[in-house]
Amino acid sequence: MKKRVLYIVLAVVFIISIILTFTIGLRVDLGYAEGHEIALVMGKEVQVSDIKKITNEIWKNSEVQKVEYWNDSILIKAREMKNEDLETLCSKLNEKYGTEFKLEDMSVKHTSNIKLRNVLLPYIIPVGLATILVGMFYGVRHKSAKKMLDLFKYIVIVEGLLYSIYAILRVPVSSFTMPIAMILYTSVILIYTAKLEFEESK
Amino acid sequence: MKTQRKLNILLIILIILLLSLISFVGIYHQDKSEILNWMPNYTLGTDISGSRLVILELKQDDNESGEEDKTEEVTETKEEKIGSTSEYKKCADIITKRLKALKVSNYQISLDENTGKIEITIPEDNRTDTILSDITQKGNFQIVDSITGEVLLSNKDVKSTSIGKSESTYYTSIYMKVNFNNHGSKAFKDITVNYRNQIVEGETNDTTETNTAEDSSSEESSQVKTKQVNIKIDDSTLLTTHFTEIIDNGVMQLTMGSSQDSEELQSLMNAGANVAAIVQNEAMPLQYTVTGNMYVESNTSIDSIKTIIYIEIIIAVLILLYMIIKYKGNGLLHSILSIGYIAILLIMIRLTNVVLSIEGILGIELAFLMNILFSFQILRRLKDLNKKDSVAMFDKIIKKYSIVTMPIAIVAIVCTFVNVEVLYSFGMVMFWAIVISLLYNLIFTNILVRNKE
Repeated sequence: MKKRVLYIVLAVVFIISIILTFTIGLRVDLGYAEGHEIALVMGKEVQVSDIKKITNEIWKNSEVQKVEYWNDSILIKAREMKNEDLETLCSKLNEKYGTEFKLEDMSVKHTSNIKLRNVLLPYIIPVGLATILVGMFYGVRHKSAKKMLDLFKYIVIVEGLLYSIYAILRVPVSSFTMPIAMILYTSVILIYTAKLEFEESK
Repeated sequence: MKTQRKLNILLIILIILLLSLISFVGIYHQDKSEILNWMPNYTLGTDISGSRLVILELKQDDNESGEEDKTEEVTETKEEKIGSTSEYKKCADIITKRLKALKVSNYQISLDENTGKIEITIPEDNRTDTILSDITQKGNFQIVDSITGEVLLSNKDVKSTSIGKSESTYYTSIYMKVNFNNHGSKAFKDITVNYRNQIVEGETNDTTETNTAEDSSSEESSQVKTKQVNIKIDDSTLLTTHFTEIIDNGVMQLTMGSSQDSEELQSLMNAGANVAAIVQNEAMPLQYTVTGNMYVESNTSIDSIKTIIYIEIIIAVLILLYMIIKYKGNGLLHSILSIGYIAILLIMIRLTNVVLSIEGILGIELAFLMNILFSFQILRRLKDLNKKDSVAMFDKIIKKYSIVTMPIAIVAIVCTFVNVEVLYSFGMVMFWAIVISLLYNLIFTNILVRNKE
């Protein structure tokens, strides 16, 4: 009875997550989102952390990356870059680094979003193939389709819960999302296999 | 006996301490005036270290740059959209296929469907510049009649391409093999028939050899007239040639170059791979130009990576503390063993140049947890057993553990065969984690169990 209730709750959570994904979409990190960026040559060595402090004062969410190998060029990305923001950036940079940036020097470029399906795509075939092979291993080892299906069930539940966290709690999808999903997937296989093997040996 | 057991345990602890020092601190030596570490550095993946960002934009028409153009006309031309959204998507798709054919791992492509601008992020290595040198080529591959310009074969007739090398006594040649599809094979065979060396009776040609035309009997003379084809990519002719025999297997082999120098051969192979990737895919409908090309550090900051590592260390420390509190002396010994296991895993990762991506770093924690699982099984089951029963139980547990690692080994092996850097990193870390865990426990944990009081 308890299990049935749990499965119903999970199913409702997953359905809500899917509806939210198709209606308002998933929230994404700035690295994957559409935005604007400017590349600046500072003329002297700069620390990304110092530039980040300045950009955090101007934009709620911004990214600063070093460009090339000489530590004197940076790339700043934000969702929106208004002229007032750029003027503030110029004055703060000029004050800190003694540069002479003007609004006219700020060449803002629009960047497109990275489609999440392109992030997910490289994982589909390898994970799918690995899952099938692990399922075949279970079939041979335990001679039981039930245990194989239970494994698939737990993988779906855990990955579904992770997906629901992103969809319902609006956690931004970032470069950590797929690694976490991969680790959870492998952990489920490890824990379930260990449970079966060590329980059998009791 | 008791002393011997204690000495054995002490020896294990000292070996683990030494391995841990080598792994976490390093072995240093003096080389001239520098102090260098024998241990190689970690190789970081592009999701941590950085990558090349290339921006491709549509090439504007030539008439926009003419000075004589009126401003109004230029403005109108600039506002005119070049290409359609479907053409932009097709170009992005073709570039994706080319990067896949070039076995570029961990690339990202984003397309602005309004302007057609494409941003590509690819790993920075010694192939990057070569890959990017041809990325904007439309890639219109054609075999045409050298005189009439009639198109005899094109991209759509190509099934696949590959690069190979053939070695002779004096040099090595790099060649590109073009495999045609059914229609292409038939057309190619016709070309080899029609463009072979042909003996033509009674015709003079324009060369100086015919200065004695009066002396030659038109009925008896024969000249070799050769029809030739041009093999072209876009407007460049790669080769003008004819054929000496009929080829009906649908395979054309083009020599890209020869050399004895290994570096030059590698350059030829890289350039050949570029051409192969272009030829085996369809031509782009639009012409792009590179408007930005720079190395950019990863947007996953080093601080984020450090945070992950600190969290992993905290989790590990908490688990080890629990182990020590619950199992006391044995728990402490197994904690030391666990630290030694991670030390050896990290040494192996450095020595084998395993690329560490975020997945790889998280995989190290998973490896630790996997090994801890084994340690807990040992501690739980051997608690109240005597030495003889302990040894038998250990053998049983290690067999069970090796079966537990098999599904993980399957996942790891599948990932190592994938040309995606992050998955490859995860696969290699888990592969070494499993191999080292089994060998390490067979040696060290086994000795500990056999020296149990």
